[in-house]
Amino acid sequence: MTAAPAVAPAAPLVLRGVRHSYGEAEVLHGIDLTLRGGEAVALLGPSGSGKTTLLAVAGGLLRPTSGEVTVLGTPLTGRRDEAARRVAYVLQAGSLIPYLTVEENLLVRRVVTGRRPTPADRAEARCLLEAVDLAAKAGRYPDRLSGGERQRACVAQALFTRAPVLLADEPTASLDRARGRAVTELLTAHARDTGAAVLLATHDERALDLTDRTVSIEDGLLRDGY
Amino acid sequence: MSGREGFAVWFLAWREIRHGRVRFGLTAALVGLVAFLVFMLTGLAVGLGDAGVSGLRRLPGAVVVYSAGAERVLSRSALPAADAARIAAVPGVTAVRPLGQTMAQAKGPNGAFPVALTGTDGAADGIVLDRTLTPEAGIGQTVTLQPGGVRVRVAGFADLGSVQHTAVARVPLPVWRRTQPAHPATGVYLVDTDRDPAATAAAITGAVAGTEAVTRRAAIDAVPGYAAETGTIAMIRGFLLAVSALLVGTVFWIFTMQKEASLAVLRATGARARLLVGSYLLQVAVTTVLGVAAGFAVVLGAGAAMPAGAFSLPGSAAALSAALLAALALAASAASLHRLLTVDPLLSLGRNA
Ligand SMILES: Nc1ncnc2c1ncn2[C@@H]1O[C@H](COP(=O)(O)OP(=O)(O)OP(=O)(O)O)[C@@H](O)[C@H]1O
Ligand SMILES: [Mg+2]
Repeated sequence: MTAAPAVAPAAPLVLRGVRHSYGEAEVLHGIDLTLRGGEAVALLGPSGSGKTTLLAVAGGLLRPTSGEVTVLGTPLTGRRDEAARRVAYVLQAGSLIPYLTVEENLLVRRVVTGRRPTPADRAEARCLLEAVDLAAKAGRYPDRLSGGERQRACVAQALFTRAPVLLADEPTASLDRARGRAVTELLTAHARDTGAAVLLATHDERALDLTDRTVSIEDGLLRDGY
Repeated sequence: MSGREGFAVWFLAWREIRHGRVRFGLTAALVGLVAFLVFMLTGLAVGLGDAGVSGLRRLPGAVVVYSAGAERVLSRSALPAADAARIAAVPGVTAVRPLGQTMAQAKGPNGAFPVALTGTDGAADGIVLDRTLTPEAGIGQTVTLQPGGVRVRVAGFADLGSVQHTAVARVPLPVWRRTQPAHPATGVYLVDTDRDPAATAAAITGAVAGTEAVTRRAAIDAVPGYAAETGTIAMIRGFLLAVSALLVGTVFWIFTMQKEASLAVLRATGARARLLVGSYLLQVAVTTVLGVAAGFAVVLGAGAAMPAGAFSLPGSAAALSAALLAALALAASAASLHRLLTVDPLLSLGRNA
């Protein structure tokens, strides 16, 4: 993807010439990608093609071997707390803290940034849990949730961070068709409503009609469509 | 750490304790158990020390002069009157007081009882008994001292302490002398000095033939059984302190390893490493303080049930033990800090395939 220079500096997420290698093996061979505000983009690719790697680089969890990642025009630094404030992440492996209830798992995303949860924060968390159909389980611990419920809780967590960029690594993998669609809709609506940029890695081609556009990764390179 | 982060530290620490109350509770209980033993031994050490030497601690003098060959045993020492002037002539000596101390049997109206009979110059007429001997005789009654069969009137009671677990009874030196078969002038001399006590002691030993002078501290250590008793207890207490430190260090090391995944998630989602460290240290502190407090509460109950004199836990000794327990626990828990500081947020990707 070549970014239009006029948009690029202020775009929520811009990757330029991003390469990444694990040791000798290069997984990303130079990725260019620009996400505009309010846009939800699907990232397709077979297993092992580098979706998680790309998201990890875009979220600042991995440093690119070369190339650059900028969020709203500023490069991501090595500081985790900085990067996490700017890029929210639905981790493929889940991100629920076992000793926090579902609701507290949302609140903790703001707590770690030094914020004391207000009643408004709690109301917002409840509202998000409502949206992912987990309101009734807000007080449960993660080990009492099904796999799909955990995944929806993780999505709610990411939405709760209010970051301008949201990366979701296969957030619908263990959901049934209807719930998968609902979650994807929630993410695209989030982009539309808050102006955030959403990048959604998925195997699930059924959800593509919900996103604004699709990019695919294969052999370490990105191309439009699939 | 900023006040804002303080909330996050508390939030993470407390929620985890609440969720894992059984394991944190068990850890605190274990710490409490060890703390109980540490307090118990501290109390016993103080109690034994008191019973062994408190009677000596209350005597004046920085240096004790024994007869050579007495092996620093008060009851074996016998010195002639002429030595007083020789000792007084040693540079640095400012006062010389004779003191006789031997174990004796006293027979009062309620039967016989042992005393650490102490003869001093200028003591009041009659016999003054340590307060713990109140049940044995009343003021004005007569007790008979063996050996010697010396009869003395009870002049009063005072906090005289005890020596070798035997309550002190004080009489004028001539009375003490009559209980001694050889009637020596005195047992030992207690010496005041305006110089370093060790140096003065050495000077006396060198200047006055047939004497061995030591500092008061060395004299106390030389009381038969005292060093062995307190040394053994100090050793066990040291081991227990080490056990408690290792316990806390190991338990929290395991806790930290077990939750590495969620630590990585917290790091990945924006928690600073120092937040994790703060929350960890808070958990260690809460667990240790609760454990030590519980141990202390139990020891107070147990101490009350112990025979008087055998157990004594003054506030300062208790505070020192508690501080040692807490400090060692915190020090041992530092072993996990490196892990916390270097948690890799990448682990949160959880790619184990
Ligand atoms: N830590 C690592 N060390 C070495 N190679 C790795 C490491 N992590 C991933 N890889 C390799 O990089 C490639 C891309 O992995 P990645 O996890 O990004 O794929 P993916 O598209 O997310 O796959 P999936 O759809 O199965 O989640 C794979 O070939 C994988 O084996
Ligand atoms: Mg993946």
